[in-house]
Amino acid sequence: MTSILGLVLLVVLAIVGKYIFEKIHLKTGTQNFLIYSGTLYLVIGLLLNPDLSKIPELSIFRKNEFFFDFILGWTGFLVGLQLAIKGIKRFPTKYFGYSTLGFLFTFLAVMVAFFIVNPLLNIKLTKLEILLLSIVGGMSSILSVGLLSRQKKIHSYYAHYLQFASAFDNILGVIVFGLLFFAYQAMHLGFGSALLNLGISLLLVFLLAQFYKYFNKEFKTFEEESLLLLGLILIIVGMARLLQNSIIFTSFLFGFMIVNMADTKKILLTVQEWEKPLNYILFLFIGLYLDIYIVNYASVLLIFLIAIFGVKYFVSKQQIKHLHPNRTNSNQQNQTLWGITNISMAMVLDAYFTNYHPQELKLLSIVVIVYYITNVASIYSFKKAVRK
Amino acid sequence: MKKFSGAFFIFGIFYFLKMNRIQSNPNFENILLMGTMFIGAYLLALALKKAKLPKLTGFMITGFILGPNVLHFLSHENLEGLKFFENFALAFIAITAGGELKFSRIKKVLKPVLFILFNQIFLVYFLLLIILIPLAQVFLKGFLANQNYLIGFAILFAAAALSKSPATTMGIISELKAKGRLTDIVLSVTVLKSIFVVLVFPFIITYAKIFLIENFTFDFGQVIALGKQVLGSLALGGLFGILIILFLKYVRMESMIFLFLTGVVITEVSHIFGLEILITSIVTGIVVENFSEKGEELIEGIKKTSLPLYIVFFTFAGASLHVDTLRKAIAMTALLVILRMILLYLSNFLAGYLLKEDKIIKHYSWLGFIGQAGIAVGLANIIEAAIPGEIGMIFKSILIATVVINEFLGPIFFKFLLVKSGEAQTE
Repeated sequence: MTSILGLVLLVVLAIVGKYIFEKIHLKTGTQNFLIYSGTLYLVIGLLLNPDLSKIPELSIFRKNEFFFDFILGWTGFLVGLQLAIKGIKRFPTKYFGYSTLGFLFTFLAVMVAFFIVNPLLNIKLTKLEILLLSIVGGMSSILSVGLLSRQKKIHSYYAHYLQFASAFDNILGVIVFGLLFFAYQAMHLGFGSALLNLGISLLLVFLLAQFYKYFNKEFKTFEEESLLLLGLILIIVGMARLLQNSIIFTSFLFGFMIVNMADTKKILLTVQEWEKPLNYILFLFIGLYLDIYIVNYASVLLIFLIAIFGVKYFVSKQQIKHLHPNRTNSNQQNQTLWGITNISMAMVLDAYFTNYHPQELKLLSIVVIVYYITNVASIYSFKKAVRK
Repeated sequence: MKKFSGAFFIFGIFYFLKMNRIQSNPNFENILLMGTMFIGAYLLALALKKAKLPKLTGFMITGFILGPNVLHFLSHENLEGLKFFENFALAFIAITAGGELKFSRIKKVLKPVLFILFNQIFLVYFLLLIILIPLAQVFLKGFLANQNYLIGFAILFAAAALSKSPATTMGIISELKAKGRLTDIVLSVTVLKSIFVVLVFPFIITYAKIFLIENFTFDFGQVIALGKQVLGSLALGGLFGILIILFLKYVRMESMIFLFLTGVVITEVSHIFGLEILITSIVTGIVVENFSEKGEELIEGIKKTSLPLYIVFFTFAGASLHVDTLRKAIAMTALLVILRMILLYLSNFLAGYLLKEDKIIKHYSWLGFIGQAGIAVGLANIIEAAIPGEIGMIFKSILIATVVINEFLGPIFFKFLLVKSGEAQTE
């Protein structure tokens, strides 16, 4: 069986599986989260993971980097599209301040925690890995906040801020992730070369965004607009790989630039059609690449979870208290930002694919487990608090 | 001018990155190349529209510029690395072509379709065969002194002249959003003739080998093997058609991904089992369109996402052009192209005359049958593989050279025909 055929088999299984899963009529928030996040695709990926099945032939499934790189680029592009300056201007300035502080505080707290326990427990995480986990810890899940808001479980005056915060800290996370790549390059190629690479990438992304601005009118129909975006994202992805930059960060910059330069409605309509299927394929790849020997990293997992739960609870509580000092805080929403974002998994894979450090595969398992535990805990504890 | 500068800007970025890369990995370069090709080819095609050239010709010209003959961005290694996408594009285009073959629609144009098809197969084949034997003696005497070789050559080239590119036909129909009686006739004849050519060509090659290879003995086992290949392709196409129908009826989720995957599976399975991608895909399209209520919806869905596939297919075709070959065998090539055109005109004129059709069918419909692409190139490869040595190479070179010319002229002629007949909805 060829790698491409393998990929097809995976996706067909996932589609059919998802169909069966949806027929079961799951009602709870957690079940909804599991469906919407694309968990089934991850499970299928896991079932065909060569390390898990102990069938080396299955490694053929992993040989689809071409599609995979494109999906990473797409993920970054979507995050960039959220940063439409016109749109975010309508949010109060204090939202930006609290959200940035929240991200930075969580980032620093997770980092300090790991720097302290790393030598004590002899975990052997590198500095860059600690930084990567710190970034991931600071980013929140848009999905679980969105699900709770949609079910009208969060009061609207809190929901507004929480939705903003979960989207904005993703943007901050991707920016810091880009800087982390820069730091890595500086360590390996020298500061001057790293700076030059970053400069070239920024310049080319800017030029390509300008290109989009001037030429998108030539690409009138949905089909043509899709072609233009597909072509530009492929160029950005190829550029990121050839210049050893982060795909997610570079395509994020591209998304950010074009959403602020061109007709947003047209872009969003095109993007909407492709968003869900490509996200599912991302989960499928994550399942395929997961390292199952997570038991060796149980201590990292535990520390990471404790840090996220503790720090994010504290941060959310402070944010809500300062944003709405006159309201009685029922503590329900303090858990809402617990869940980490799915972009974090893509970021770890991005780092792994750029040969940034072989240990990243272990980090992927940790991040995936933390993703599920924190999101499910966030939804479950929130609903429990509401019932009380 | 704006579109030209846009295309060259994108090519410039590609060149800059190729020269200044840190990591050297062909996969990364291929990703960049695909993006460059999508945008650059489309912009150039739009620019060439001002000269009334169809977009497909624009894609081919882009491929030629990017390819090994000019800029060398799209090298033979890249083409090899991205071969899968070319086959995938062919599978998708062929599914769409099959999907256009709705039985109820063919019924309305059955008579002209059958007459033109019959004439194009038999008249073109036998007349060309008769003319080619003495002509080849004049033009190819430097290469082929043996009388048997000349007969073999005539058999193969007369058969290859029958091939017609369904991709070109579909590409122009989609581009011009053409609808109408003439469109239905051209498409139906093209698809049916393609199936016929792909089914029959392996048998013709086996027959030609008797003249071309000394001591070659005809073995019935070869016929059985060929029959298996053909039947396998038909069966697989039918099976995929049924699978898609079941999916559309019961699952109806993520149809876009499912469709995409079907094309991928057809490409890969056909490759693995040595089956004909073209037959498998056309049959899949025919089954879905005619035996499912949702068939039309599916074909429309494919059309919506087919633009990148046309770009891949025709840009690659442009990049694969062999200028050296064209130069070496220019006289024989030109003769074959002109003869084919004359015979196509005659066969369509005769069909139109017998059926008392209008002027468009009688005098102009042949213009819809010039383009040759994937099938003809595939046939050339089969010839080279089946007839090893210098003779096979000469045959392949001449055949590819004729395809080069027909490939460029085909879309231009067909566009002219659709515009003239008033069936093109847009220019």
